[in-house]
Amino acid sequence: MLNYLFNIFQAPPVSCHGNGSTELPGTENPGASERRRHVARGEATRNPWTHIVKVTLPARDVGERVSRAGAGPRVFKHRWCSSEFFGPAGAPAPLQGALMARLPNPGVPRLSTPGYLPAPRRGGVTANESMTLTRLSHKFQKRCGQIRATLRFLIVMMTTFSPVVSVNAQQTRISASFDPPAITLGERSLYQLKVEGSQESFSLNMPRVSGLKIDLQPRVSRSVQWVNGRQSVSITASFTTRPERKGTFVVPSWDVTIGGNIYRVPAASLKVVAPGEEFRDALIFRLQRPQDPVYVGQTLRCNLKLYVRSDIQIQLKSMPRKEGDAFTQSELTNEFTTAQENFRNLPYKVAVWPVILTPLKAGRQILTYQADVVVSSSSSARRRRNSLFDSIFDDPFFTRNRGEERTVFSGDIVFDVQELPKAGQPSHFNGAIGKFDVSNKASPTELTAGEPITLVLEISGEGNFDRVLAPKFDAATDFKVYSPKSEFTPSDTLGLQGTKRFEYILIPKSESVTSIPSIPFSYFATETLRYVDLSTAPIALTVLPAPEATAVYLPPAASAPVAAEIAEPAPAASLLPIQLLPGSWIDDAGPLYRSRGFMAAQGIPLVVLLSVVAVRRRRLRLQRDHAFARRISAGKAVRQRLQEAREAANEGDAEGFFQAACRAIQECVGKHFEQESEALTFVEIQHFLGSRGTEEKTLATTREIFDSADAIRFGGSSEETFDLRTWIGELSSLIRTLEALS
Amino acid sequence: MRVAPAVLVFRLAILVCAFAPGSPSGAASGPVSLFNQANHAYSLGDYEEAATLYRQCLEAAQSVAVHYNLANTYTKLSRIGEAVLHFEKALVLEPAHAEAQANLTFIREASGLTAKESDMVQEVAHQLTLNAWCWVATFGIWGSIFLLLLPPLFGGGSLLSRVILLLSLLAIPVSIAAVLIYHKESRKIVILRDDTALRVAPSSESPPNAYILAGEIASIRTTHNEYFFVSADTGDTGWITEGEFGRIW
Repeated sequence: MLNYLFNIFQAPPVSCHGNGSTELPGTENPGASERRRHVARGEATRNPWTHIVKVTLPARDVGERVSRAGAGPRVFKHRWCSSEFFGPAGAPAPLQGALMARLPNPGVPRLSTPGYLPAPRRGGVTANESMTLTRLSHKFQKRCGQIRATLRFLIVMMTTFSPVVSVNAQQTRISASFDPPAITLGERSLYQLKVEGSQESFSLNMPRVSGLKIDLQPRVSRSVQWVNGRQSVSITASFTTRPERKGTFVVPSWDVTIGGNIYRVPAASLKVVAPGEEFRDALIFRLQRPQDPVYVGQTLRCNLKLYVRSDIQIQLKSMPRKEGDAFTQSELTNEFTTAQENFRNLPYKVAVWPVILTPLKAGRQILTYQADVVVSSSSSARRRRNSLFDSIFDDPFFTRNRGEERTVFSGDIVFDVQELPKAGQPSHFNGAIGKFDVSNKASPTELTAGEPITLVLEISGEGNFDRVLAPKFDAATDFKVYSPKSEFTPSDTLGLQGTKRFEYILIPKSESVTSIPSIPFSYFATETLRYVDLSTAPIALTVLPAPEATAVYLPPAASAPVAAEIAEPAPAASLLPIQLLPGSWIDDAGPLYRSRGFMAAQGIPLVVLLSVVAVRRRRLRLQRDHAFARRISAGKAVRQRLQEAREAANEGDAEGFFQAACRAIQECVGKHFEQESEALTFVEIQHFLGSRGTEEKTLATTREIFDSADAIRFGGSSEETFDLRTWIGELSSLIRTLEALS
Repeated sequence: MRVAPAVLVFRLAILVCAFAPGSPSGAASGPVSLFNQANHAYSLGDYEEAATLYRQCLEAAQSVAVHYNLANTYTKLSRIGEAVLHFEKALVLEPAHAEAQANLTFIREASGLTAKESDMVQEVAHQLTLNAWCWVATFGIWGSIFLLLLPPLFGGGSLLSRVILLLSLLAIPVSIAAVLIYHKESRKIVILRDDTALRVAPSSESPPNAYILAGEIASIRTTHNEYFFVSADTGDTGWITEGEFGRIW
């Protein structure tokens, strides 16, 4: 809703009745357009958005069409109904501008008291129609009063926050031009006055031009653009002009009053030619080229331009052709660029072909270009001017307009071609002109005599790569050198820039070779007009003597193919027959030693061997080393006695438990004695434990076990007095302590 | 109908054998079918079709017979280079394959190819396949190690163990020498096209040093980029590219 209100406020369309219906185009939405159509159909009184104002124009100010409609007051209808929107002059500012812009010399129109009059038919309205419309208008006025309060608030908000405010701050610019700027006699051109940055009312006082008939009923258009968040408003008044004779008509500079300020309208010219002469200077060939002097063999980056005046259209029948054998030229393609340029103060559309020229001869050389085109009439061009998809070369080269076939000539293009200067020219110079860089690389640099070396030389830059040949260098005494392979990689479409790569194969003849010699290269720099030497540095080599089997072989003269000397074999007659059975299938015919499975299988005999050796060596040690054997057997015996003690404890057999416990202690300590463990007494065990610094508790427990065993066995103690479950834990702890002794 | 248990067991055994993994009839049924089709085409004189089928067969699995038959087919097609190549491949898989040896000798003589004489060491090496020599070397090495390390732990070896140790020790150098000969021969190639140019340098710009016939044997000595420096049995040397020869191994 806000948007809609904004639009209609910014661009109120105007309908004019009594002077022929004319509308002021502007920015509006489709709804507004529809309502305007209602107005045109005479439904104004039923449209609440239609308000009629009466505008009284002085008789002297009324233009031609107004005069035909009759003198007297004229009624204009404006969509906005509120007089609050009127400017100081009593009319909406846009309306004033529109009204004044379409009048030849309006001065300041005088608006009478607003009334609600019906839209008149040509020649006026009847009394009945007037009354009916007046009633409806009063009813509408009542409704308008209700809406007005709401709108007043909205308008205040819009004027406060909308970018319209910034329009007034824009700088007002005035321009004037003819469209098209050149026509043939009998055609029309539009004189366009464009006011940018202001939507104030303005008055016109256009000068008259002799021989140029100007229709003073302008067509006014208005455009609103948003650029970087700022609104740009422009109003264009277009006056149809019709020349009465050929020649150049100039509308001189004149003044226009906008919002009370006077601005200067620049002069504008219109060229009128006789029919058939309209294509003069319409098509121009030009060659954009480097300045003289140029040199023989130099590649010249040029642009071939075909200028087409903006008011005509052409169709190319052929690509531009070069005339002149003193130059070679790169191929012209359909891939040209387009631009727009002013030439001799006229706008031209330009087709640009990039082209490379190479002078072949010295001296004053002339080059010309020509192309066959079909030139279409300007009217067809004008018809397309407002096409949404109109672009500079949309149709000139691709439409099939009927027109006149013409050949466009460039005229003589003169070159001052010079030979390259002899002064300072290196002896190895081979014709390179431009700007280059050189790099080289050799691989390998450590090798035996007779092995090949790949030497890569890269020349990059911009210039005449077609004349950059493989540099020759003197290495025949040390190397066998073969003709290099060359490859050019362009980096632009014309092949003027890029990298040229030369790949040499060198074979050192002997181990005495220590380096690859310098490769000479120089070029003529077109910027400094001097020769630049870019010879490479020598590359050090390490050449080892060739072994006997790979002695350097230098070729004899190539022998002829030998196949022709030998009669065709006829072996098939005596072949043994094929086999009818496939035999055993082999998935992998490769050598077994490359098989991972085979290599992994070698671990099996290794493991077997190590196992056999380990077992055998242990057995032999057990046989030979008694202490080792005792240690091994003591461990087993201790575990066995402990098991017996546990079983006895579980059975409540105290005698059996303590006997087994004593035997376990004896076995555990006995591995440190040469004698049999069974013969160890407590005294010996006590002595041993004392020598090892055993704790008193261990000694006491040992003593108690031995004493208990003796008491049961020899003293007749009752077995029931011992808590064997506790003793099992004591014994296990004791054994662990004893086993830990070294 | 009642079937005896022995017959049932026999039938079950046949089924197990037929579908056992790795059995030739099961795993190589595709190659077998192709082989039979190729033989049929060969018998009808359609050698191009036979060669195509044999090649498809080789893509699935190899056998001496396939290489041999394919070589015969190429001989019929007068493609001597490929014929020699596949006879050589057959002989790699089975050095004692008499038919392959005979046909290879025949086409070499008929085509005027160089037949390099084998020395005694090579003759010995070719008595077994490369993989057989690998096994001999393996048993020789481990046998020697076992017989050197274990008898001292068991109170000295018997006469038999000493003889076996001697044989094992003898097998090691012989088998390794044979493997090395095969390894050297693995660099052998067969020239595939007639008048193949042996270039002086590894460059297309290089002049030819010599031209050799298809079917000639050469050895790769070194490489440089896409070029191979070869030494032919004819005594010629030069650089050739990958597509001009076939590798035996």
